Amino acid sequence: MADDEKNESTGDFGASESVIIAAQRSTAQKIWNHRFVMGFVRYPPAFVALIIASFFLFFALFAPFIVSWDPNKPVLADTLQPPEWGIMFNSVHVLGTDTVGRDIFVRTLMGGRTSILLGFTGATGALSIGVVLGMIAGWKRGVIGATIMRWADLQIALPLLLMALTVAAVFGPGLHILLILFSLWFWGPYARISEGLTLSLKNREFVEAAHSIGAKPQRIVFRHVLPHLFSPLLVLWSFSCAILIIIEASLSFLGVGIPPPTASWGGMLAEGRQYLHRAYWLAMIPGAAISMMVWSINTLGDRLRDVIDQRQYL
Amino acid sequence: MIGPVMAKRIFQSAIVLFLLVTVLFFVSRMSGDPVLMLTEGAIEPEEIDKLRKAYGFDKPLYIQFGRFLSEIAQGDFGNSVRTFEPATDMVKQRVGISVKMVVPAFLTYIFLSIPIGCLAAVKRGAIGAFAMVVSLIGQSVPSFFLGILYIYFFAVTLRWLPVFGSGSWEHYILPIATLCGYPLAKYTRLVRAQVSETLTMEFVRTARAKGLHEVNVIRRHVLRNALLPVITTMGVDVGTLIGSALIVEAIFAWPGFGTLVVEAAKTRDYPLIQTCGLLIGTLVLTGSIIADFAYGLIDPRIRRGS
Repeated sequence: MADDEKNESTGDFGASESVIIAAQRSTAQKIWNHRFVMGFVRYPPAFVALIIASFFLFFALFAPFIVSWDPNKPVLADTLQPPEWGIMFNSVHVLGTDTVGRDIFVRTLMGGRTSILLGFTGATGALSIGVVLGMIAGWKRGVIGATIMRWADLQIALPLLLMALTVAAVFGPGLHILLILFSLWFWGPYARISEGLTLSLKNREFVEAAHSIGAKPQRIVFRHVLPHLFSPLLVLWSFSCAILIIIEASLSFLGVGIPPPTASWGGMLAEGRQYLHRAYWLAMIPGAAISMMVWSINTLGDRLRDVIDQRQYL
Repeated sequence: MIGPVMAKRIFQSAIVLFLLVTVLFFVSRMSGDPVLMLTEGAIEPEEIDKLRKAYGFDKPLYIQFGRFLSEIAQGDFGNSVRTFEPATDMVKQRVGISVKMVVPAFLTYIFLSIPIGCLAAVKRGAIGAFAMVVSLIGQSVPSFFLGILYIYFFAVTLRWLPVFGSGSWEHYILPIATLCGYPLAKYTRLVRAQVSETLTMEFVRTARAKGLHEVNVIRRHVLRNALLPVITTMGVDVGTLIGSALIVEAIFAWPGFGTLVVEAAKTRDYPLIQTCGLLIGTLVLTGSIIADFAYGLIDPRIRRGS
């Protein structure tokens, strides 16, 4: 088979397309190697952030299988116990209990599970939608592109928090509604970046080369342009996770997020607010947890951006 | 004065506002009408139907939408479904109360973040590092937790300041401090990054070589260039500020616009939701247009289109 013939069974363009892709690969390869990981491990704040974030992530995924106290079952004999530091981890409430006797440590981990999973999944959903729409807007200018960009502007005009208020109050609070809403109303920034980059890359030689061997626009966009978007989108994604965690906690705090009795950081803060004079740990522990998680994500995102920027100029 | 670019921006913003109103209209009505919620099932079905008719909820959605658009065009935003007052009056009154908290906070964080950011950029050392660490933490602590922390330390433990209500000037301190927390941190970091970068540029070396005092170098040359992205960010941040104000009002029981939005959303008060949403959208879009305009004013290169 000649180099520039399309192989109909695999949809592959053969050697000539591989050359086009390989010619662009050098930058990506310079960034994504083992020294990239070292860029995080060697920098103390990023290292600490990595540990903290992994801790919360680990429990977000595995908490239901590990914990000893049921996070949702009231134990009225033990209400409002202060934190105790005991040796027997299982029989002592390490961080105290709340108004109906539920263990705070366990509830914080489980609340983290909700907040973190919602934040990460929402960010990923928004990324998926935003990237596709952005690349379409960048490639096909005109009415379609303009409409997509106006929808992106709309998300800035009515920020997610306020939109979520309306939607959650209208449809009732719930995990699924929030998840869908986060994905549908947060893709604006992704679309902006994708559109800008697609526009600027559209006139490059590799696009022309791919076009000249007969690649259709969809193929060019997804196979040749998209890899250039990975780095900025990854940085944006990391910051989105942090923002969405805070938004979910804010919504739960206001009473329109995840409904009780499911543990949620914002909800625990709302409860704890009324007991500040008697039982400060009700509010302080989940608040500290949110702050630590968000700080970790922000630090990692910052460091990610720095590492990528440094390595792009190699 | 309003060039073609600005006119295009305004036109685009009008489209976005229209989309906004449409989205709010249909989303609010998607789950049914508020009549059931208002009457709480205590009235006969026929009375409920009469109420529906009186409000116009029995007509098909597109007819309701057409009526709604024509009313808006005449400036009538409807009456609140709960209190029967005109939505615009309620919004105006509550916005006045919110403004008393938001504007001082806005001024505080602008006029604090710029000097602190500059200092942190110019004096590399303990002050700079400290300011940066504090700002990174400040950006990570959500506003509701910050508010709770302030309440705990200043009101509960030290008993210096009151928590709820509004009255004396002391009631203003904690809400304003809470509202400032995140933006102050964010803009301090941004200003410092921008000033650091600008200080490496050649025109700064030239200004120093001319013999200008360092303070003047910064004031006349560095700041003007460094603050451009800061201004554009501020314009876009109006929406976030409104969201934060909402939460701070919830924490401190401040009877302002934010609490109005939450109440309206919880009781499905459509006219109020629509009016509030429209106001928020207008504020955000105006903020971003003003920021772009200011950018054009400050940087002559943008004006001349080079």
